[in-house]
Amino acid sequence: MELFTPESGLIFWMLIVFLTVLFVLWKFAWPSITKAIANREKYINDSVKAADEAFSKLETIKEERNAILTKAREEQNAQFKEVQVLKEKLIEDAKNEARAEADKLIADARKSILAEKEQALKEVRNQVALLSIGIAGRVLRKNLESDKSQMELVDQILDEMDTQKN
Amino acid sequence: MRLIRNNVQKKMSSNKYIGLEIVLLLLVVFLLPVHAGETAEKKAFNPGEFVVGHVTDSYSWHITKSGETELSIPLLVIVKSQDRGWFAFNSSKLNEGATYQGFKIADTDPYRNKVVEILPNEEIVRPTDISITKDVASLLICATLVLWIVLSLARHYKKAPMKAPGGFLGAIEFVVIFIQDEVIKPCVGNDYKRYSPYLLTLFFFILINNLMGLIPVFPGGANVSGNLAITSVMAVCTFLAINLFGNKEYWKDIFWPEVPTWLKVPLPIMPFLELFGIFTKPIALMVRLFANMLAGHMIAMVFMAMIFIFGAISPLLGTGVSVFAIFFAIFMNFLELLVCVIQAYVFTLLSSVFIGLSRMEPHKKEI
Repeated sequence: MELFTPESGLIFWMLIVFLTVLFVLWKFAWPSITKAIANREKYINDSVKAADEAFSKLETIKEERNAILTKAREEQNAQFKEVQVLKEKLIEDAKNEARAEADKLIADARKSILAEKEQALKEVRNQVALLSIGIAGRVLRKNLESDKSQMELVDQILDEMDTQKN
Repeated sequence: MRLIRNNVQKKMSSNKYIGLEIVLLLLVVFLLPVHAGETAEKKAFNPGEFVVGHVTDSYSWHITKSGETELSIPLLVIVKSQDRGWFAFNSSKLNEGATYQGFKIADTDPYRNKVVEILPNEEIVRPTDISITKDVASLLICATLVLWIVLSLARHYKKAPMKAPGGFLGAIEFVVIFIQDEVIKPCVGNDYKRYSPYLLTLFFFILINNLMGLIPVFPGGANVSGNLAITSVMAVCTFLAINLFGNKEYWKDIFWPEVPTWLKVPLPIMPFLELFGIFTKPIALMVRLFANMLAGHMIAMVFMAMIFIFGAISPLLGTGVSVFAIFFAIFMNFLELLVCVIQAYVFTLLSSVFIGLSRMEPHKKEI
């Protein structure tokens, strides 16, 4: 029966066509296709792996960042406190120094006032002495001829006054 | 369904609405090959001839018949006469039993429907015939299609190596990956890379040929993969792939299999069976694909033939039967779609398994 007897002409053409297709695809298509698919598969796998790694790295980075932040905040607090203390101390020191300076100034002033007072008193005494001599001289010109005896008298009188005063 | 029934009813009863009928007829023609309608009324309808005529090869590509004129694509006849050398001419020269340059298409056995040469002494002989028949033409179309599809996939990767192809090429890529990873890799084993180009080509070649056979009109419709000449060539290729590269273990398993010695020594029963198996494997491949595809084409034609058989008894009966016949033919066509893929898959799978057996690792010693 015709159905079951393979025709030689058809076998001939089938051989040519099939082997040509096989050759062309073997040479130009399948290697590049399978290679490309394998490459892409590898690329995707690598990318997924890289993404996973990046993700986990990101997690650690986040943790590190948090740690750094907490530490920085603590340090900031500590520094703040330190600065506070320092500030108080500075203010205290400044106050003390100012007080000391003021005290010194007052003391100096007092001293110089005292010295000047002494001086003034001396001068006043001298003036008084001279004045007194002048006055007494006029009074006693006739009584006391020599200046020396006059001065002795005045000094004596003045010393008496001093001792009285003291 | 209603559309088809209306169409068939009109076709059977009258030719009143010709314009509408042509539109509906086209629908049916594209769905199923029912183009023997007119003949049924003129001469006695021969279902055997009708069915076999559609599944066997022919010298021209018949499309349809409108009125008295046959509509078919003429193909190239290439024959070598016994004494006169090569001839190549248009197959339309041999239409209606005409004789051209001493050649004609025989209408009697043993060379029925084949080009024969009439020698001067009236003797009829078969010349060497490598005509581009319907099957060869279909084969060339399918081969071009396979080349085009696979090469465009390869070109896609050349252009965008890391980009997955979309659309149609994406589907093809899916099939390639499926066949490679699920069939070739596990079945062939370690050196699958050496065989995968052959097996992938085999799969796509069979698949495209099968699917083109489902299209009832021109570029398809030829029963290519349901032809022994086609399947035998592929079976021989697989046979060579198995046996040319079979390793020591494979040949040892054939001539000295691990069975009780009395099965091998005085009378080599097992070696004989194994040797026989070398040939039955590819023959099984050949026959399986051939029979499945032939049956698929035949069953569609048988349903169509039923319409004309019952139509010849009574037009009303023919109409009634046509509803069921077309319904079942459509159903069978869907089933065939499945069979087309499965048969291509099975041929590739079994080729892979047989190749894998010829490349197997030495048996592990049992403890």
